[in-house]
Amino acid sequence: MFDRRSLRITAVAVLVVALVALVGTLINRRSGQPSPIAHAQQPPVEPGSIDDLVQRANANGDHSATLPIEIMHEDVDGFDDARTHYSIVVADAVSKQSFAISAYSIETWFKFTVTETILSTGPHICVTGACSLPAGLPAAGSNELWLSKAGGTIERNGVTVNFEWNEFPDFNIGQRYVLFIDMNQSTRVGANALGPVGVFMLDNNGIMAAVLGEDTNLKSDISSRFGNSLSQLRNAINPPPPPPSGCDPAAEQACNARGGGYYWDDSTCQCAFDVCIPKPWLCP
Amino acid sequence: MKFFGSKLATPRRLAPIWLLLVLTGFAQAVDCPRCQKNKLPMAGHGAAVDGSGRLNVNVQIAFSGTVSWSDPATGNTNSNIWNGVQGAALDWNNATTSTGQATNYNFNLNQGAAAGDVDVRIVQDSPGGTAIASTEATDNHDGTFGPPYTIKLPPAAASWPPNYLLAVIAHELGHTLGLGHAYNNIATCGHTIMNHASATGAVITGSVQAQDVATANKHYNNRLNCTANYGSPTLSFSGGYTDPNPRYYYPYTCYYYYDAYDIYYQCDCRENGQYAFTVYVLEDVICF
Repeated sequence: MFDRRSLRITAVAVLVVALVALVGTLINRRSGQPSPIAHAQQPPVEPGSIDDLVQRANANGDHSATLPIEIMHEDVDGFDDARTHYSIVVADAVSKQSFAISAYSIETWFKFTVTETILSTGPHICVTGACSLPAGLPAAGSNELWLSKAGGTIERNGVTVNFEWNEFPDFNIGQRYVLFIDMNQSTRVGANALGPVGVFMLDNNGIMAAVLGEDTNLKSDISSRFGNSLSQLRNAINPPPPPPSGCDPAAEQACNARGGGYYWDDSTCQCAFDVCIPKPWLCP
Repeated sequence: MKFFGSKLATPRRLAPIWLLLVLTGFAQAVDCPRCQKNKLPMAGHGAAVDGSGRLNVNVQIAFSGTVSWSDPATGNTNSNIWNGVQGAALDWNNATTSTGQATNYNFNLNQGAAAGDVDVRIVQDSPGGTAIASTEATDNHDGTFGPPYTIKLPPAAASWPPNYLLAVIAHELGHTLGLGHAYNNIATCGHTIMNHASATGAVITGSVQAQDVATANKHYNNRLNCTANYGSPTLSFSGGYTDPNPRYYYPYTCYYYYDAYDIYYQCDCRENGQYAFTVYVLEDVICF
């Protein structure tokens, strides 16, 4: 025989269970209005993960798997916006190393030798404590720079896994670049905050070429304002000393007054012509 | 023909080749934003729950494993992420072209969808390299890519301002519709959700625009009409032709020639530091 107290407890428990079941049923019926409640269900394989790629490659008998990625990053309205928010350095790509930083992501760290810091701007990403180097990478020297980039290639279980940034191929080792980056000058670690927008290859004649094929505001500014010339860009940031004595002020004034592509070359005291000034759309 | 020097008055005649090239340039309109021809339209899973007849696209926020957006204490999905995904889905669902056409998809935040029915998965993970967010498609191993998609949001996204988070997720959902980037060329491309962020990570374009829907529909109706590719870098640093003895005169060397009747310009043009070549054009200089 049950006493009355036991019966009351049993009745309450049954009522609670029934209410929970009723609420659950009502929630399930509201199929068009999902709610932020976690489910215990777990997929057997995490789709899109590195291990998933490796498993599928092995199943297909492939030794490599390439996965393009599309990255959202920062962008600028043009050169003036870029110089306000980013450092500008000229640097040579020296080495690279890729890491699996999680189940889903690969990141590559590039080491650069900095040949010139054209502009040093305080970082907004690589502030103190941020942009830390992966274990195993040594701190950068005084003329070096570590720069991280999404994507890269690693080996796992006999499969070469390549996460390929769709619009931004890896830096070419040995190539010299002009970089608009978020950089912590004390740790010498930077972030490629502008993605490919802020990266320009530099040739032996000091001519910059954007790595990105798309038209961007920064690329357009560097072409139209500086004729893709690093020296002209440098002069805009750090104006050169006055022209050498001997330049004829009247000749300079006459040259500048001609317009239409003529400009006064301070270093040679000559009037020069650049067709790309009046018609920048015709120049690469 | 005689070398004349670099201080010659510009002739006034227009050259037919100049006109031809300009007209050719105008004939090739560029999508804003671009769409990718080798990315397949989503098939979705069933009909839209709103009864519109559109394709139902299941979006799921990861709720288990190392990339879960669930709060371990409560088991509930992070509310900021939840609201951001819900808002971005509604933004796309409600957006139309300038003529009132919606997309062919209805994004449906469906935490109950079976693993095989998830078209877009939102995970908590670093996109790498301090990037803001990323989207990955699935490789079909036949030169095409498609669903299921994985959108990575970094842990910091949990505390992003709601409007910014919504815009970022709407941008990433745009990739699942076959859209590429627009690179903030507001002057030439107008506003599009496929712009990037500002120089300090703020929103450039906060919501889906009419031209985003128009380009998504262009992709859906015939992806082969799109002008961009997914998974192909726009510029390769290696390979291709490199002149072993390049002559880099640009931009300072443009010579002018004249014969009895006309004036010619000869310029050594360059392209991305790869090679140099010479063109002779009457009246105007063309650097390809």
